[in-house]
Amino acid sequence: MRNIYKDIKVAFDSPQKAIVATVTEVEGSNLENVFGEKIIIKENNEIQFSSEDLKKIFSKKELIDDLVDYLYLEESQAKKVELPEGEIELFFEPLLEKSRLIIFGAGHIAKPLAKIAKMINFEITIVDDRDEFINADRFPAADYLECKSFADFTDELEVRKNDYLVIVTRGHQFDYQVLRDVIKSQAAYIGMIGSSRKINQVYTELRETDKLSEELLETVHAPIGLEIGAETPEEIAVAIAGQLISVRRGSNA
Amino acid sequence: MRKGIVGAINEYNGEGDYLARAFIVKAKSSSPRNTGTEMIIYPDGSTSGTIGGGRDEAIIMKKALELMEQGKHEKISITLTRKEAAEIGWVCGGAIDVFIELIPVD
Repeated sequence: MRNIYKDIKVAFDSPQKAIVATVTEVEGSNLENVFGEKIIIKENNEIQFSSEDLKKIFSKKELIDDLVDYLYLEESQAKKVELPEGEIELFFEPLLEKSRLIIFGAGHIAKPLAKIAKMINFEITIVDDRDEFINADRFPAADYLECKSFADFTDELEVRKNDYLVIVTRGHQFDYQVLRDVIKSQAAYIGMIGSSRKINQVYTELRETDKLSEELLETVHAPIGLEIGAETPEEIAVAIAGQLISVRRGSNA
Repeated sequence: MRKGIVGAINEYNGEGDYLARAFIVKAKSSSPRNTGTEMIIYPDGSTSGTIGGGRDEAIIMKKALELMEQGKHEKISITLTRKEAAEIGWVCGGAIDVFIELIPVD
C-alpha cells in the first residue's frame, strides 16, 4: 500500500494530468478486501491499482472508460460506482497545486472576493477573530476558515511562492500588523486596502518603527485592485480579482 | 491531494507500523472546511496539515491512533450542531465525514 504513494509522487511531478481515487465505501459481497485501496488515473489512459483485487474488479473495458472520464474533475469529490459485485464509493483527488488566496479580514470585501476567487480557481482561506463573521453560511466558497487573531495566524503561517495575500481587516492597526508580519515573505502577491491617507499611515509606521525599505514597500499592491473606478464591495472584489489574475498570468495590467 | 502531504508520507522514516492520512470525504453546509481537506497523523500523535483544528482534529487523531493498533481503515462521521458546538466553546462548528486511511511504514 505504501508504494502507491511513490507512484502518486511520480504522477504529481509529471506534467501530465492525473487523479487519485480511493475506495472509501463498499457495499456487496467480496468487496471488503478493496476498502481503502487506490487507483491512479493518468492522462495517457495509464491506470495503476494499489492491489490486484481492485485491478481484477476493474478489468472490464467499460469500467475503465468510466474511470478515465473522472480525470477532468477539478475538485476532490466522492462518486458512487456500480459494479457487478455491488457498489463502491470512490473518492477522487486531483493532483494539482492550487494557488492559495489568504484574505485577512472577513468583512464586506471578503464576502464577494471569496466567491469570485473561488471561480477563478484559488484555494480560499479567510482569517478573522470575530466568530460571528467567520462561518460557512457567510463563506460557502471558503476552503479554510480560521477563527483566530491575525497575530496567531501569521505566527503559524508558512507563506509559499504561490500564495496571494489580501489585507482587508477592519482597522488600520490590524492592517499594519498583518502587513508587517508578511511583507518579507515570498508571497506572489500582497495587496492592502485603504485610502491613500490610511496607506500612508501604515507605511510611515513601517518605515519609522520597523525600518522597512522603500523597495520592500513598493512590492505591496496598495491601494489594492485594478483601477476600474470600483465603488461597491462587489466591484472592489472584481478589481482585486482582476489584479490577482494579472499577477498569476504574468501580465502588466 | 496536496504535494506536501504526499512528500511527507514518502519521506517518513520514523517509528511505528502505520501513518494515517485523514481526509474529508463529505462536508455538510455548516462545516467551515471543504471536501478533500487532509492531514497526516504520525504514530507519536503529531500531525501535519490541518483540517480546521480544534475538537474535530482531536477526535480524528485519537481515532487514527486506535486504528493504527488494528491496522485498518475507517470512515467516521463527526457531527455537531452549532448549539452543541457553542456549548463546548467550539466556534467553528460543522458536520463532516472523514476517511482515515492507514499507510504501512516500510
